[in-house]
Amino acid sequence: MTDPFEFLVRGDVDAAVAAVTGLDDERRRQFADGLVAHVRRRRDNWWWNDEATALAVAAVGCLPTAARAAELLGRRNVSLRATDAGPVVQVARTRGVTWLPELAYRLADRLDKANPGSGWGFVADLLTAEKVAPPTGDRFVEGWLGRMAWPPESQRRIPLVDRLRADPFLDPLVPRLFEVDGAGARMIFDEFMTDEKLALPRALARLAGEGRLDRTTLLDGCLSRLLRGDRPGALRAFVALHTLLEPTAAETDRRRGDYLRLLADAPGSIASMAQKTLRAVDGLEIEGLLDASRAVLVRPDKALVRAQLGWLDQLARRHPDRVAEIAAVIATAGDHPAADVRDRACTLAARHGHVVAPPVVVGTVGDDLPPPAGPLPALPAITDPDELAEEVAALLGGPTTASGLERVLDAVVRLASLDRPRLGDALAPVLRRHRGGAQEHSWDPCCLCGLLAGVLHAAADPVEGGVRRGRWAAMLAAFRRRTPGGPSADPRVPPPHRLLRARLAEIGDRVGPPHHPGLLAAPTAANGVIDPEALYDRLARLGERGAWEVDLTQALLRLPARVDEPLAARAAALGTPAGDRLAGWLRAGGLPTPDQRVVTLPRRERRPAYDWGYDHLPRQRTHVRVSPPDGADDPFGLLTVPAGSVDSHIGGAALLWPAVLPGYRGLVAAYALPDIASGADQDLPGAAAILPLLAESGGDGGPAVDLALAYGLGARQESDRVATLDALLMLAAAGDLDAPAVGAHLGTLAAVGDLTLTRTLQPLRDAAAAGAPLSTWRLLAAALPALLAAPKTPRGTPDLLTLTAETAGTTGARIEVPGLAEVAARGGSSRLVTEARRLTAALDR
Amino acid sequence: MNALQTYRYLQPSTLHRGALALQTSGGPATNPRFFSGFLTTPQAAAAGLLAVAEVARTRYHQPVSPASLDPVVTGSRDRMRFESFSGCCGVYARLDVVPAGFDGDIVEHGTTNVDVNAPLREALARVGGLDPLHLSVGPDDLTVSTLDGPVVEKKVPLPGRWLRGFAEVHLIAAAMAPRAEIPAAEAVAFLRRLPAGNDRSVLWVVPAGRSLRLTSRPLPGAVCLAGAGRLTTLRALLRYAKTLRVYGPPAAAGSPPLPSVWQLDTGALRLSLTLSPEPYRGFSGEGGALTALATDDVADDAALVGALLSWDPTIDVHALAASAAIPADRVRSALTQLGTAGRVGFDVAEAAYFHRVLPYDAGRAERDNPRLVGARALVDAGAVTLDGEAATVRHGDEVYRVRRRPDGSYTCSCPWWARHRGQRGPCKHALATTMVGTSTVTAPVEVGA
Repeated sequence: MTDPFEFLVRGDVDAAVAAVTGLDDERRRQFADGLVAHVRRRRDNWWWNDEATALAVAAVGCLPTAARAAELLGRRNVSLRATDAGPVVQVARTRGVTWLPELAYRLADRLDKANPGSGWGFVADLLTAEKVAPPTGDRFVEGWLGRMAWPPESQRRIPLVDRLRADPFLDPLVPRLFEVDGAGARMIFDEFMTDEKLALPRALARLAGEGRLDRTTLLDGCLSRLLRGDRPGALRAFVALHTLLEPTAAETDRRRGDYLRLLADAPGSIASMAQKTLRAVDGLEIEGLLDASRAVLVRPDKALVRAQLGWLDQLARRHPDRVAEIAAVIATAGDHPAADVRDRACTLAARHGHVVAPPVVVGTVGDDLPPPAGPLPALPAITDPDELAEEVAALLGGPTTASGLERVLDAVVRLASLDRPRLGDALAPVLRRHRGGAQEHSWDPCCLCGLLAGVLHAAADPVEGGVRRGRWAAMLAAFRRRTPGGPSADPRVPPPHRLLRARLAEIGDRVGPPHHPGLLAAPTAANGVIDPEALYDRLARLGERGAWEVDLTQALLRLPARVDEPLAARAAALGTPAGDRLAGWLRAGGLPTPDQRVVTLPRRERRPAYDWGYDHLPRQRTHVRVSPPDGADDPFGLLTVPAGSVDSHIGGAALLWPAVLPGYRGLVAAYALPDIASGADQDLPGAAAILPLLAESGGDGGPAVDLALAYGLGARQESDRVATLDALLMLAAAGDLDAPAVGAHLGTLAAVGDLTLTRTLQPLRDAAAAGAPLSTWRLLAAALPALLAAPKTPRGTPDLLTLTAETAGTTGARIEVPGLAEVAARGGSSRLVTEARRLTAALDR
Repeated sequence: MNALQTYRYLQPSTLHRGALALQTSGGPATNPRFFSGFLTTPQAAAAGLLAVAEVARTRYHQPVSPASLDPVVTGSRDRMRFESFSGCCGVYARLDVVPAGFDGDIVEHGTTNVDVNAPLREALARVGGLDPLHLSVGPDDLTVSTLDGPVVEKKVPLPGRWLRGFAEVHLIAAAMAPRAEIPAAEAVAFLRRLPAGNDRSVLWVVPAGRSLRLTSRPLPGAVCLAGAGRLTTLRALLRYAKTLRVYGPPAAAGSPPLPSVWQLDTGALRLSLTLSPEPYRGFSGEGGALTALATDDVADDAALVGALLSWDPTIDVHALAASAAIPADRVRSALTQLGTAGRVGFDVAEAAYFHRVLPYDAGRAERDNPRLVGARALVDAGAVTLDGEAATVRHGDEVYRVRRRPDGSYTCSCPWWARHRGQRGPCKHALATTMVGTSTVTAPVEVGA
């Protein structure tokens, strides 16, 4: 027997009409049951176009109620986007169905939340055919807006205003535009054919002008929506409509309470609109205006406040009898955070006879920062296999952190030598659960996941170690080869990371001898540093057993970089090769200081084919090239940082390096500089997260640290700028901040447009407020010469000058700023010149 | 498990000719009447009410369609508290009207829902500064006597997680202490510079000079600020406020994200927002009450203490201990239990619990917490094997090890625990171990039954 619903599979609408025509009640009921069962059975099918039309015809032709039909047609896998309502209405008429309007209402409520325009047309056609009032639910209104923005093919050539004029839903739905939350976000589309902006507000305003729509409804609707508020993007359309309606003075005066309220409380653009509208009204009642002004004048929006001050000034001239009252209100802006607004307010208040006492500047010379807390001790070592299993789960299931990794590695070696079967029992379930996170991510050359999981497997079960030994041995051999970036070393893996990988390979290779006292390189402080005494004790405990080579290398790199002769003598007295190596290291005071050179790299050449990536690269970038000092040995390539290229990018792995080289801040900064810079010129989030870690490390700074801080201050993300500020303050508190060098880089980068100057304002202001005004002043004084000399003064320079004047005034320290006098001597009253003069005045005080 | 909340207001709340008539539904009566009198600072009160309503309508995480559960109001002895809870379960807002804020009588005590509708919001936004504002909470006698008028009925889904979150906020607040206080002028500048919109970053805040400073890492005394866009609601009341106070649990270097309370004080009103530790984390999943619920130790104390509560604006633990004749710490754990049932809330400004009874059955929701249900299933399946201070929990093919820490809490080797490290309460394996552990002490016979 053939399937009675075979026509649904083919999407044959005519067959569907035929199938439901002329059924008696009993057969119709059977047909309905069969239909529902058929749709349920094919729940993976996507019903659309003719298939959906055939389904709609069948549903309306046999189902007993609108609720049942809506349930069937409102299923998520049924798209009514292109469904033809004609045959559906015809079938309903033939059958004598009276519930089509109800079906339409129900379907209107079930329109897709994300895309209510899809399926809207079908619902609208049903309503039009039945000549009933449209539903006014949120979804239907949003769908209506969607249809306006994206009309069906046949109507695309008709301008929106003409489509609206003929729209049967216009009158019932227009008031809802102001009531549905978020509807405004769908009202800012362009005219379909001409791309004219803000088509809908224009069309509505025109219809109001013609008298087709009630002007009062629109005006009151806009105001009520603006008063109630919505997301900023959803309010734009109402501001535009309001402006297009051009309210008359009488209309405004009647609604002045609303406008005053918007002026005082609404977001900036709306408050400005209210201000402009109100200023056009003569004879506004003064009490209300003054009351609102008090709220306006403390708002941070500078343009709004300045305009309000201008208005009050005008008012004071016109109403000599109330001048004292008005001047007192003007004076409230004397505390405004923006210096130019303060100045203006004081001038105006004084002009109208209100004398404001000049603010008393309490000068504190120098920075006042809490002393650095010193590194925290490392977390206590893991002693229990179950505890290790928990830490392993955290490490494999989340981000790899330096401290988490070190604790696990240390515990793995100790516990494997203590009771390997018990360790295996504890780790096996966790390793099985996290096998997904233990895969090598082949696209990331710095990925540690597979390697780490291999080490853990080897620790848990010697057999597992056997299968990986070949790979580990190869990695170790490549590491030992004294040619950095040699044939088998991936040049994309920087040396600190190569060291980390070699260490993991070594641990995997060597883990398991009984009674091993544990890793030499386990940090004793949270920032990765090892106390030299602790390392001496570990070597003493190790005795005649040989130290693991990479482990010892890492341990030495974690010592503070300074000469320690007494301990060196004791280490030499151990009489072991490892003891000798420690002694030599301590006598040399760690790695030699490398040569660092600042280099500016252009971006790569454009590729001949379409090159999307090229356009997203910064024009140029400043890196630091590091090379070993003359005659110095660089066994692991750690002292060699190539200049790199503008598109070199490491990702999160860089966060592990401060703990690899905790005594060499400048070196790590040079390695991580491409990533840090990408936070400023490629807007990458999280780029500056490494900076506080660098600040916690020891060692010399140098150009890489200074550049890193300059780029970090200009990072796109607030959280990155905040991290940079933390680093800046920590370094300043420890006396390790070279503020003029950071400032000079900042000025140079901003002057050529490699850095967005406006972003740096807030963190620098915060630095001054947080107790480092002198460092900020020194930084700014070094940044200004390049900015002032730039052919096109970067945006934000006047604000930077204001901040400079404030910090200079607070500290009372005098620093010469080359080029300032020339700018201050320029004529005119541009903000740049005004602020330059303010700084000059602050310096002359 | 999701219930349906039905509101039945005698008429919509209105603001007409200087009279704000808030309609009520549920609680001590069908449509209770709590208050009639004047608000002393009308504009600020209107802004505060709008803020509370705004939080109730918003989902800060995945903002798709706004949740629309109405705020609740509590009339206690000399205080009115309007509370709401965001649809994403991550923000809790409360407006406390202190005695300086109103002039009138609280005629009845209790907690009820209040209707806030679109025309009312618009009218509240229009409240002018100079006119007095009469407030009535609950229908007047006239409305009650003419019952045949149109009744406003709203049916909204009442998700279990929303309820659990609402009932768990007090636990989180009770662990907080004041960390910073800044004048309103500084607060304006501070709130303005925060990242807006959907920013998910976790930042920290420390006092710096007269204002606050953002920092990227936790320090002792710092307060966590996660998803700073969630503080936007405070802006409305900012210009009436005198101070902004910030509360948080103790932080230290390396702390994970923490919850925080941000409170604006106008002298007559206090608006506070409690933020969850991260925008995606609802308070419902914070699991602070789970251990207490896994064992029924404090149920009797809770019943005893619950009977003694009498709509005090702040609950004096010592007085309560004296009248209940049990030690103060048992009263505290009883209050925690009562809070989980929605019968007390916590006010950080006064560092004290206050009596209110949520007009929902919050206790049941918490007892049906998925983790507790899962833990009970594990216990019933005999999945827990105790050995000393640790336990092995078997679930299907998986084996989990649960360890007891010196402070009595448990750790586990499951991925959930690895992710949250105890920040969101115990996992179901730890809960199951707690259940088995306590039942071996009290009734060893039942183990493995």
